[in-house]
Amino acid sequence: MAVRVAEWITGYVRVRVVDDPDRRVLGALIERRAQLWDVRSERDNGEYTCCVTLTDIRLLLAVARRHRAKIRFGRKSGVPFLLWRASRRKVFLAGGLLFTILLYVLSSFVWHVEIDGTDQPEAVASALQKLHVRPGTALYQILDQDSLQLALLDQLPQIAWVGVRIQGTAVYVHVIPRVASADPVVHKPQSIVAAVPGVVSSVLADSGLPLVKPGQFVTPGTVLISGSLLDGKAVYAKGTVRALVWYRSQLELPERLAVAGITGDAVHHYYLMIGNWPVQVWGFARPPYTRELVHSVESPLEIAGIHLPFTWRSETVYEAATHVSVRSPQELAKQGLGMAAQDVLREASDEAKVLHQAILQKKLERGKLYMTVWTEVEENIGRPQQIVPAPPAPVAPLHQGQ
Amino acid sequence: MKRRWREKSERLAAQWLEMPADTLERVPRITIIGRTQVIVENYLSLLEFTDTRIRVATGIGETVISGEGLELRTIVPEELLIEGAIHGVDCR
Repeated sequence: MAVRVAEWITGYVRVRVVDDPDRRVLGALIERRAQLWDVRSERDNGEYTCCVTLTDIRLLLAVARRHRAKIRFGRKSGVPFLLWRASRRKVFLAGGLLFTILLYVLSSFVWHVEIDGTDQPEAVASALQKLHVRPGTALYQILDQDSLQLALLDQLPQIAWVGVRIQGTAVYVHVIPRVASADPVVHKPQSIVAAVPGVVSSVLADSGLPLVKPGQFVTPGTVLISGSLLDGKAVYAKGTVRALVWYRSQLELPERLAVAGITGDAVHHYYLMIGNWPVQVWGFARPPYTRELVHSVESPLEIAGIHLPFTWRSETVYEAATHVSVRSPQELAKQGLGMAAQDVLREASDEAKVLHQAILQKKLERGKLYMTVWTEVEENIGRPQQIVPAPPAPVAPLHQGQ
Repeated sequence: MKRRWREKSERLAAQWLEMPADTLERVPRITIIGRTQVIVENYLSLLEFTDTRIRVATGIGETVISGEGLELRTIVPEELLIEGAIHGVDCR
């Protein structure tokens, strides 16, 4: 009993042909290429049944009439008969339709709201209620996912992020609560005092009371910007006080300087290393270098990714020479000034700037230049100093009994 | 004359190329599957049909299928599919 899809769609009938002992109807139908199948002889003579498509029923009737055979219709199958039967059962059809409509209507409501990721789901739920997101609202009434997300973030300051996902009739809300940030650093009252002696060039007080003026000479420990205000309050003083500071550097510079270097002349040697035993392969020159610098590169040999037990060593022998330079006192002095400036800047604060330099003393002795350099630097001389609060004076309560 | 020449040449070609005879000549191909199915291809017409005997006219004469509870499962212009308990297939 094969599944006959095409015949099922067009519809077919099982018919019983009565009074046809010679099978003339069957023969004629086959001759006319009617679509029939499952021909079955019945026990008593002259009867048989077969399946015929709906399109060939007229042909069957005509042939049967001609051969004086009788036709009895049996089981009717296929789409046309299904439709015909359905049209007779209107209530059944209506029920199917009602079911479809109900399913559609009910699936356009929110049935389920799930909130997770928070220990206060009530707050999120009430915020969602304000946005009409609760079981029973129509899906088209609520906003889309992204807008809901933004609205929730607006309404709930205690959450850092919220993800809203509308999946069918369910709304899933995932909340990430905001972690309370660390308290800001509490600045204790302080003053800015001078760290080194100098002449103040500029005072920039961000907070606090400036006590010095440009042009004023200050000694270490002098309060530059005070954190104690006139009204007795102590604040966190902050600011930049730039001042001219003088440094004195002692230097010793040798006159003669030996510099080792290579002359540029070189020869190449190549070796095949078998274990630790070098076999010279190419480059046999033996140059008459008095001093030499050997630079060798060893590279392992490999064939198709397999390391051989040999290495290739290429060696470059450079001619080395020591060059002794004798420098004049002027050159040395110039170098000394630069070195002194570097030294001073390393010692001074970050925003230091060298203004002037002068050589105070210069003496060439035993191949060395001894010199004293004076350097004027403008730098930030401020250094924070905490204000130790004075013990508070006992204050009598104003209103007793409160 | 022409017809005979064509038949002869076709048969010769079929022999030479060792092809099954039914692909070129107008002869039926009768396939028996187990004891339950007989497939008759290239038939001409149905001569007799009862549940014990089916006679089919083919290009080489008559083919008689005897058995019990025979049914014509499928009828298409090229092929007959007969099902039932097959007892014998005779070519006359």
